[in-house]
Amino acid sequence: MANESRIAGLQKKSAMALAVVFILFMWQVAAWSLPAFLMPDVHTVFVRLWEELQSENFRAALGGSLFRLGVGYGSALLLGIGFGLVGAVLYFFREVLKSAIIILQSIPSIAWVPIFLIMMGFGNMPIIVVVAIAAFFPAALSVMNATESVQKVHVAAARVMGASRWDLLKRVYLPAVMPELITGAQLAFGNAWRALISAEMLIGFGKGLGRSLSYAGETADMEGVMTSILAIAILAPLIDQVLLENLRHRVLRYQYV
Amino acid sequence: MKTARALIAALATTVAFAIPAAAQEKFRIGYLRVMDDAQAILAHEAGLYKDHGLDVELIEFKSGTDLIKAIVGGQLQSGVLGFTNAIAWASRGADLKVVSGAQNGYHAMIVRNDSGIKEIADLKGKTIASQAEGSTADTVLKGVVFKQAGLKADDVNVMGVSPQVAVQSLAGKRVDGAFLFEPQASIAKAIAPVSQIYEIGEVWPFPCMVVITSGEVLKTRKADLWKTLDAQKDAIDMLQNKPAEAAKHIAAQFISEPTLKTLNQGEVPRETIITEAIKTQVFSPAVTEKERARMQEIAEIMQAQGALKTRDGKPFQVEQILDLSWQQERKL
Repeated sequence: MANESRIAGLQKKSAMALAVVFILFMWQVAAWSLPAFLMPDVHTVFVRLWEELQSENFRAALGGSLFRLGVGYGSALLLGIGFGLVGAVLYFFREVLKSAIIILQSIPSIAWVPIFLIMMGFGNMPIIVVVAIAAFFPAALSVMNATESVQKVHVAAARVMGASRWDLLKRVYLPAVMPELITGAQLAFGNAWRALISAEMLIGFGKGLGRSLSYAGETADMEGVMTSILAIAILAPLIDQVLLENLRHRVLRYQYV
Repeated sequence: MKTARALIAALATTVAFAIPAAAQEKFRIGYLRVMDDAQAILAHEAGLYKDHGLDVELIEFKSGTDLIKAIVGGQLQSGVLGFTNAIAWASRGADLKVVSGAQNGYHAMIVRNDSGIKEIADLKGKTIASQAEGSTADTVLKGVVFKQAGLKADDVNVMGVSPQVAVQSLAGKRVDGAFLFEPQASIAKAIAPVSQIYEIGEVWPFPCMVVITSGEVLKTRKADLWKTLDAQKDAIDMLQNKPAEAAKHIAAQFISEPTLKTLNQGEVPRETIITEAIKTQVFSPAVTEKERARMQEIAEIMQAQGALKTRDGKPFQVEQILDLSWQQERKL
């Protein structure tokens, strides 16, 4: 039954290709109807992206963004999983944390920027923290929700066999929450990526894709704007599909048999 | 249902006719809330546009790089802003024209007394506040101020913010220094323990603010545009000859309270601060030969910085975006 609801690999790929063609076509239609200095053609932007990839500056921007994303998203996942699992064994803590998350996650993480700039100074730190906050909530929430649905009989059985709290977390809760954790991680990644680009555009520190985009916009370089947007649009699904989706297949092998 | 439909249809018709009619009448001018744009603000506050028979709406922007987008997009008829913005867009193919001068570049480097900075070269590794990347202030800061002091653009962390935020950041110790317009430089000096170490107008005078419009406006509303330039010229006369009177009209635009709490002199009326700030400025409606040469020089700096790219890679010719027929007609 499960297999019927999924489409075959080839179909999935052609669906993705169709979506890409559709987006590029809409872009080209916009380029045809607007002057070139407002909306450049698809192929000129692809050529520019290729040229940029050879340039030191662009690679530094790419590296800077990925570094901030890595640190921010990585720490958010670690903290999210950590807090979520602790909530599995400390029920009251879980309820407090969950309520706090429900309140705090409605605030866009970018809104904290003015305060962070004063607290942490002008640098990488405020951007990383904004990314971490954006990614933390979905990660922690997904783990916490998943721990609630762990079957009591599994926990009881482990206890009977003499499992400590640590054993319970490691051998019962963590494997049980894995499917939802990965979905949460994918959700968190989308949040983190959006927060990263907005924070870089707003704070304008160091080198980064967001900053390149905003600088291009300030200097009338719409080709540069579209090149940055293209790079952002290519990178995000690439990381999501290649890294996270592969991880999902590996960790949840049994679901894909 | 029928009544509702008739009502909607009537409403839609009214809106459809009302919008273009209103757009025809009003002349929208973009400005930045800095002394460099005082002529545009004063002409509005002192009713000079009205004297010339115009209904002008002033629209404030955070930075010239945003303002120019509104001119390119056709939402504004003109604006008083740094001319580098016009060059950047014109080099990509946008139809823009510089039609008059406004003010000669005044930008002071103000630093915190506790930062230990004595000259521009000491800024290495420090953080300062300035205008958005790619703006005229940013271009001369990196291409002239830093270069003359032997600094590279990356040696200093430059935070691109609005002039008001720059003063707050300086007073709140978030930055070590700020590259400021007037009256923000005077305000910062009055309210915080800071000193001025540099002023570009003394070292490297250049035409910073100019009046920019689109080729379309020049074609369709030239008479109105010239009237706004006449009104702004009257404002410039008042700024140059009667600064105290001009300050009465525009002081509230820069300092919201009637007095400013200063560090050493207690409460000072806002008009006093603004009068002093006006006196530091050089306003001029005409673009001189010498200034045109400076503009060309700045265009070449922008090209060297990579902020300006022409399609054929040749140096951008500033002359092609100048339309100085108004100043020729008025014999300025």
